Amino acid sequence: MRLHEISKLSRPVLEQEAALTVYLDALLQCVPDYDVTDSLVVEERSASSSVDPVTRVADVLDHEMRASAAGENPAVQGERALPGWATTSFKILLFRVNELTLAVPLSELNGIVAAPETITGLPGGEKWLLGLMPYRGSSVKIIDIAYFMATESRHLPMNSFSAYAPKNIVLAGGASWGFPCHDVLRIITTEPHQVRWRSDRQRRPWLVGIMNDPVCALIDVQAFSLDSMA
Amino acid sequence: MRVWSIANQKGGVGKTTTAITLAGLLSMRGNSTLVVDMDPHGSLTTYAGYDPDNIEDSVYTLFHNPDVMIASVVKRTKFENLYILPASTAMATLDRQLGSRDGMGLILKRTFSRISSRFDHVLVDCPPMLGVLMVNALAACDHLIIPVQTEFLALKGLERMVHTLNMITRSMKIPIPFTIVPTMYDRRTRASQQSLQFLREQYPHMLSEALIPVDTQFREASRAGVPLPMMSPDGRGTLAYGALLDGLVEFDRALQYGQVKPHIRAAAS
Repeated sequence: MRLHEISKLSRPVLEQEAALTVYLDALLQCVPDYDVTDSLVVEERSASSSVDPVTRVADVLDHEMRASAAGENPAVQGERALPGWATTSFKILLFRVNELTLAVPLSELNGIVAAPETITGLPGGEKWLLGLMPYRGSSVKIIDIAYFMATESRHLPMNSFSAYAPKNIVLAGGASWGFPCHDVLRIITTEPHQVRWRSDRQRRPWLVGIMNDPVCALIDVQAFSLDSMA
Repeated sequence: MRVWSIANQKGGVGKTTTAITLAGLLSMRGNSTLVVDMDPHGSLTTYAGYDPDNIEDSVYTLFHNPDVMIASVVKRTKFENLYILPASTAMATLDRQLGSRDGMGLILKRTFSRISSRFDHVLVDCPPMLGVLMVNALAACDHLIIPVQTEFLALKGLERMVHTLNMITRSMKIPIPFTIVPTMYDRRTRASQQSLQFLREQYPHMLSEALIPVDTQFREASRAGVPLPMMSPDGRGTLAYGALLDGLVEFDRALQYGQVKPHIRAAAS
């Protein structure tokens, strides 16, 4: 039984030794970071409703990833299969969607273009599909990246292109699709060991890992593409 | 990276002096060394030239945002190879805020796993009271150093510390090796001699051979904000801590290479 449960039942802990044991057991319990820090984050958020929803999602993704990493066998960690582009140092593009910084491998991109003021909507289409944008004589599907960033319980209220008001469109998949962003930040070269790779990608297969410096979600465009366009 | 925590549930036994002096020696020997001030009083932070009442990022920041970029929390000192993760007075509130949450005793351990390639040594200066800060420091360390003033009241504090260590060992199910370091030893006084004798009898395998003497230079170094080894490389206190460091490094190496089993110096579980 946990300390707070004991106090809730109003049963005084008579033995000081037992009180200390309960206290230490709780503090040293190996719980996934998700459970520990997310509760703090939620508390802070409830105090301030002005926190950007995309920022929340960044926290959730990171916690989720660390929660899955917490249960894995360290021996397996070293053998984890990395994407083909990550076997040696690789270049990534950092871009921003609201306050959330995302990264994609440069080798997987087909270009960055200025976002048009409007795109052609697709009524009745998939929730994640914002619409179509003309590009070099063909149509580029514009994907609501924030939709994929959201957890089931925390969908973002950004399901229209005008709500995004993006500055650029990042093109991938042979320029057949793209996602809107608010700012293209920079290109950096990184090493495989600078990324905390996810071991279990059954959920969110496109989230390949988290970079520590700068802190951002690293997206495997190929997996993202397969997941979203199927 | 090796993590040594310096703890005792009695105040004024030489914890901060031990932390800064060992850190000074390690950095002078070319080791990239980080000192972590887990005491809300912030003595170590003040020693390093920062103000715990007016500091932007500190251990407090880390506890509220474990994913914070370490580079923004760790500060340089004016000494080569020596860095500090400072304390702030607000840390005194952490127990109230976080003390009842499961798993909050492992924040420091997780942080250290993120910086293990950056530093050779981390020395953690603990507060004298049992709480979330001390539990974090004990759970994160490879080796615990317990300074004990050679006087009778301090021996009682040591008993309490060993008891706490036993309980943490039980909760973690991993033994924490520890070394007791007699401090403020004055061989001219009977109290010092008798206390040392008591320690030798009660803790024969955990007692450091090096004795830290009473030395007014420690106070002068503290006033100047300089680790004693840098102010007085040949001083009595420096030499004593040098001998202590040699013993700790030797023991730690044996521990790493499996030549000594941790439970030899760990509290019985």
